[in-house]
Amino acid sequence: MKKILLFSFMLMSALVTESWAQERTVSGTVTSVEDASTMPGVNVVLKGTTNGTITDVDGNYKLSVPSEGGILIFSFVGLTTEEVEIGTRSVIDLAMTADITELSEVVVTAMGISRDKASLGYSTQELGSESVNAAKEANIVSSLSGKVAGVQVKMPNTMGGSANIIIRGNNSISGSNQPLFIIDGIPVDNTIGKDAYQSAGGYGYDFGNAASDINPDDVESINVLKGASATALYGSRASNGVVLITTKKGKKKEGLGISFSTGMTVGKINKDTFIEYQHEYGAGYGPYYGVNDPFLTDYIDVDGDGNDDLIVPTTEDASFGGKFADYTGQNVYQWNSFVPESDRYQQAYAYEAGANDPTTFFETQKMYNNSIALHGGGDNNSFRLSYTNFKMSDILPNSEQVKHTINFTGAQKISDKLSADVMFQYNNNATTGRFSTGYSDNLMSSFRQWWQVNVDIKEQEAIYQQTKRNYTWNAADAFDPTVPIYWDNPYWTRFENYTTDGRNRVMSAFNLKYDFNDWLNFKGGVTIDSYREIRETRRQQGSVASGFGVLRANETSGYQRQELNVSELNYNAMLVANKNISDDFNLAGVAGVNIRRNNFDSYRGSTAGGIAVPGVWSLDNSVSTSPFPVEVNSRKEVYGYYVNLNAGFKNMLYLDGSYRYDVSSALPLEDNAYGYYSAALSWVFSEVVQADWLNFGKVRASYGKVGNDLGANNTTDGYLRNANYVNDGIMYTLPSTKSNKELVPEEIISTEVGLAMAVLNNRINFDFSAYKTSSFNQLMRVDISSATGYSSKYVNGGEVENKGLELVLGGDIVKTKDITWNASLNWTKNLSEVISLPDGPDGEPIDNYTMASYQGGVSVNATVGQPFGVLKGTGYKYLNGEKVVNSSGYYVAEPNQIIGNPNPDYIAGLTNTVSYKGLTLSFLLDMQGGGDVYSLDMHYGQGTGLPASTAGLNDLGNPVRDPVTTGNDSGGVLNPGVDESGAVNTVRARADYYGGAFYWGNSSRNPGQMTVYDASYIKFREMSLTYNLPQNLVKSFAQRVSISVVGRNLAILSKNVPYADPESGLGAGNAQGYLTGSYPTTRTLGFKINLEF
Amino acid sequence: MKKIIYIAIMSAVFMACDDRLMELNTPSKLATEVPVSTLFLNGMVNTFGNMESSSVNNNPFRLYAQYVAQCTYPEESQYNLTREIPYYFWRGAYRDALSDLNTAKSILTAELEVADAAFKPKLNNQLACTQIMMDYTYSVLVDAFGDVPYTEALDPDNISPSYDDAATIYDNVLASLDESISRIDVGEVGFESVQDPVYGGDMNGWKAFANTLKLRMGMRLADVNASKSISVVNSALASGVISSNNENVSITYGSSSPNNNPLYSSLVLSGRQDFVGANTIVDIMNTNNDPRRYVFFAENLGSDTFLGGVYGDANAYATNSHLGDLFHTADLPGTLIGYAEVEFLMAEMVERGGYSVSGTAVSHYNAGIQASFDQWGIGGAAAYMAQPSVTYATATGTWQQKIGTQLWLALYNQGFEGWTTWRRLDMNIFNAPPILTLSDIPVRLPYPLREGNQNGTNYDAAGSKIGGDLVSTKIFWDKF
Repeated sequence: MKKILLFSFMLMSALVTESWAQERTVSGTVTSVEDASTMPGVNVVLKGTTNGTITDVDGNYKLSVPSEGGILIFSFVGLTTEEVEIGTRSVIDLAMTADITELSEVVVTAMGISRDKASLGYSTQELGSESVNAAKEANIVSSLSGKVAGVQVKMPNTMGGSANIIIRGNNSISGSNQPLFIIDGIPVDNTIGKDAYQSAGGYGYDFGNAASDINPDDVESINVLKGASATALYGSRASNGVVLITTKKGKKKEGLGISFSTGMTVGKINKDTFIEYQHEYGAGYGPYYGVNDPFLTDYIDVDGDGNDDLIVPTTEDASFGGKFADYTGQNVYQWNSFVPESDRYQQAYAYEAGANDPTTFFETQKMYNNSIALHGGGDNNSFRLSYTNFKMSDILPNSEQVKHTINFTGAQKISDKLSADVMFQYNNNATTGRFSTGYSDNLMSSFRQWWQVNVDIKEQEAIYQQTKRNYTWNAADAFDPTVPIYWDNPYWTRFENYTTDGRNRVMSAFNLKYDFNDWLNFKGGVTIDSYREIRETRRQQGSVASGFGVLRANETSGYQRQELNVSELNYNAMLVANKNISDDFNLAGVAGVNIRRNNFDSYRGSTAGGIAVPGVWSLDNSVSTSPFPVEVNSRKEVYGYYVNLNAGFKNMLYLDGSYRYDVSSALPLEDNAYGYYSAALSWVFSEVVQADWLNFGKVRASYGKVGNDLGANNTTDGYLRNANYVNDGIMYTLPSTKSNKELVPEEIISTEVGLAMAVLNNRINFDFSAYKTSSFNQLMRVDISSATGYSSKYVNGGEVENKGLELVLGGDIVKTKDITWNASLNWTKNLSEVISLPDGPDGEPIDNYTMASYQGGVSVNATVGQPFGVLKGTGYKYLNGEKVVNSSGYYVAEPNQIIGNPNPDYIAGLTNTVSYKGLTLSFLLDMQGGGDVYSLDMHYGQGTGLPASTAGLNDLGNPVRDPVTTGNDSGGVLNPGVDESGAVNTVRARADYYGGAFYWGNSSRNPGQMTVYDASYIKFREMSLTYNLPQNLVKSFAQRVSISVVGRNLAILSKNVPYADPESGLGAGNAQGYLTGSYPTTRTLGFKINLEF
Repeated sequence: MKKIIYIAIMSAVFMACDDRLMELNTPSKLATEVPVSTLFLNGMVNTFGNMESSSVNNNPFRLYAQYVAQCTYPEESQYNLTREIPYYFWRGAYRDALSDLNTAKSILTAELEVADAAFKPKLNNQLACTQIMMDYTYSVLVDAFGDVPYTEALDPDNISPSYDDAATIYDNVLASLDESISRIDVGEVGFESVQDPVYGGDMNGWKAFANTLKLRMGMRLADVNASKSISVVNSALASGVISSNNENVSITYGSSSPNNNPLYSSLVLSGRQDFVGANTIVDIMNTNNDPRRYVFFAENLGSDTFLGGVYGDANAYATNSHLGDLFHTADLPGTLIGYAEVEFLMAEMVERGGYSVSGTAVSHYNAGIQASFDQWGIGGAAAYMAQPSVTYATATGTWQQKIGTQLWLALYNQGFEGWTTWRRLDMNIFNAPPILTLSDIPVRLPYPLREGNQNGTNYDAAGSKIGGDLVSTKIFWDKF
């Protein structure tokens, strides 16, 4: 057992050997006190330097040392570190002893309880600080991608947007599936900052997920608790797993420690994830504008020469217009021909593809991160105080995010028995210019779905910068280009209609610990997470009309302000015991009480009818009387009582059991208390099975039940106030969702078995888990027939099942004195199935639940017998396995088909770390196999003729947009398939206007399924190359200096979704697999310097 | 130390007391009881909103009536039910209008049981107003879909309401209207004026509304149940129907959002250019030199120049006649039933015979035209009527064609009723969209697709009972 651990940590020993003042060498052999065997891989370092080596396979070492003095430090994980004076010796042999306290790998489990990892009957996976810090992501959640088996992360590509994290599949159809984040015992609010419109794919902003306030620089380790048996002590909030974060702490040391790090990265969009435009055809939807020229307005004499002139139809946000080649030598009046300040004013000019397409709209992302930490400690106290400054400007103009984090942890021993510790974190975030998401009012949906390729976007920029006016390419009337019809000048959008938001947050914990004796202590404390957030959205006077503000009426200007006050307070008290009853028998236990108070308060007010004075961002700057604000207040308290017992026999067999009883104010009063439990068994079989190749082996099995409590205010109805009618008529209305007084919490039961082994001298280790999770009593806001007077109702019932396999496989591919190459793979396969849905009152079970409905006639559903969240919409019609094509050459659409499954077949991450002397290269490949996404960008983008795929040549080698004929000169698209009789289709669909082959479909043709794509990808997610500077260079001023080159999202090595990142969705939430207005992925590359004094 | 633990545990237990938990879970920002008039007004405003809207998401009827054509995106005028149009129209009726009205009705019914006799007439009046609004909406639902949930509707405890037979719903609605009429005490007010932007609490108006709705529904039955039609209509006439434009079922709209006429939202607030006049109506009005053109359409193509966009095709906004300035006005009143319709229906009664209606078809036909001109504040009705193409005696076609065409013109801005008039009288005036035929024009809205998911058994049963959930399945009264 002890030896096993010795071997398994060999990797940590790579240090630099450098030559300076080498006057002599010292050598020797390291052995084990226990069995006198030789000890390979032991670190031997000259104290105060990085001059060191490791012992070879026979336990021998040799090291150059200065001519005089010096101390050698021998260290190895699991052994007591020893310091040996060299003196004048040239041979130093050493027998090392096991360090009992370090021998067992201790992990932090639920409720902050430390346990020997070997004793756990469930799987946990721990990450060190480097995993979130090496190549830092702005959002800590994103940096978990690809690193933990069973954990799926989706990044949004929007600045500060919400990252979706799911552990072992989605358990809840309508509730949150995001795990609970706990930092140093403080449950951290992770409210997803998206409103319903945004989530439904409409206009809005993604204000991120609140857990992004956790500062990666302060993180010491992250432990992911996956199954119910690991999380049962959290009871009614444990259903989705727990991400336990431990911050860095001060350690006992001499003097003050100072760590400083500075980093900067720059990022550019990955063009594989943005639309590639066709360059052949200009503005319009088809041939119906002019009298003689069907593609241009041709009946107005602009210059007064008596001849009618050609004008681009500026109202049209599509590119199914005239072929540029047909206008060679002909000048055309375009959008800026009517802008007085433009050089083009009253000029017609060549009609051609814009010299700069929207790809050039994106700016270079710049991210700066500076962090300083002071730490120290003595016999009775320790502290760490840090400040981190993070600043970024993102790929869209006028976007900036600044975060300040101050973190303090301290511990004080007050007496022999009493000690106290504190954690305090303050965040101040300010963000300008959040990215609009979704279908409308999102520049990405303009660039990808609604655009004229004849527009040079840099000319839009120049005229905006010159005039600060909304001169748009998309004017309602070509002669008045300040009035947009659908789209503003994109620079106007970014610089005038920008958001600002800021959050001030305190997370704090105060804990007291009293030791009754050496086996029993009491811990009590309070944790607080509290923040206030302000979000402001603006529309400058003269913008395109869009649903805005409290009333969501179409308005051409407006100002909205939302304030959030969110807090969670926890009182904790627990007794902790850990006693060796006999030499063979250990008993550990916890009993505690937890009181939780949540308060969510929000206020949203806006102008109505526009703003009276441009540029004044104030609620009183309203044209009409300001509408009633929207106030929300929800309060919740949970009273939890819990107990945990862990019995260990001969460090080999462990039995663990937990029980928690929660009383929740969110549940109906009559039935508001529920019990949750778990049991786990583990057997370290390597204690009895002796084999040369086997270093460690453990089997485990566990079973647990946890809950997913309701949110507040789901059981009582209230009337909603509407705006007053004319003459102050008062209006109240029933809510659209009917509450239910008979709700119960969702119940998640999971079973897990696992096998962990380390073999072949610990060269290979793996941890394999198989699990099954069943989630019952699904709380669903079921869409019900609106003939009931409501469009939805809260009900309980049904079951979702997730079954999965997880594998963590690690190995040292190369392990020599100078070079180590470690590879670590984690692989997850999760299969979900909606087993059943709640019964209706007539006893008929519901067989489908629409979780979200989107533009394009696509919905995300829980369908009985299908995986979680299948996409439904119009699908292909098949005849004998062939797609059916109608007599005009279009694919026939069948309504209400399952057209995609957004769940991946598997996800995997492969991390490679190669060390050579002071140089360490680490890179992560992150991959997903399978899963589908529906792209509204392609649905509309093809329909409007934007992407390159809608132009060019067809199968006959003719321009695809040429008219369809019966001859070999035909344009059009030949859709592979058969006609209704089963004969192979020979009819080409016309593609010369938006209603043709690329049309966005209707109930009878061009099914939505045409733009469903396989979401598989392999991403070169992360790379870091770190060089630890030789000690002799830095010793005069620092203990350690390292320089890193870091990169993220460097390449997508494989994907099938055209022009987009398969991951780019609408941010966090249960409905995934829908792309609209996708942001491109940013590749970043930068450097980081760490200094330790 | 143990004491502290004990106190901690006991205080936790203590704090979890029921009253506190109950209070915590009560929405503190919402009212749990509200004045009934506030629900009535909300239901009423939503009823009008659903009918007056010209959003292509929920109300395509100005298109179906071929009053307007679309510009760049002609899908809806081609009868493509994009974006779940039937669902949003259905939901607008049930969830947004009927639900609040039904709650108001329940509250009023309960209050009536315990009310002092002195308050009963007013409560009865309020109940009648509420019920009449509901009856109106149910009549529209039947006219749009056929069989719909009625007896089991509006009960959130029954999420699978069965569909009732359309003709039976008609009978029930007519009976309900009779009950409301008998409940009304015209000597008492109904709702306070500000909560009743249609009649300001004047129960005479509500009585006329109820009777006119009976009249309209009665005439729908003429082809399928002549005797019932006659009895219903005669009783309505005897009780008193709308007799001037002053009594129109019209709501006052406000000058600013959200209380503007919904049409204003689509035409002005949206900033879009989706609609122009349709050639169907513009051509007929041009032929008849109809002075109402100057109100219905704008002279954006030059004075006295009116050109309609091709119905069902994509049209350029700039080269076709826009809707008139009046329809770009925020506070244009919205009308569910107008006086002109009453006169045209009376002309129809004369032609059909058997109804207790005085006057001739000609006199009612002319009165209908006059009422329409008056409603839009336009002179020159006499000269218009003097044209052979308009004069009742010389206009071409059957009485259905003549009366139907003029009624259809009068119903401009009442898209649903314009389309229904074509369904009912089958005037040969509509154009088929390109590549479609006249028989492709819907005579019914299909059920919302979501009903298939949400109320599948009843949805399937209803579809098969009415002969298929199709746009070509006729409503029960639509015999021809």
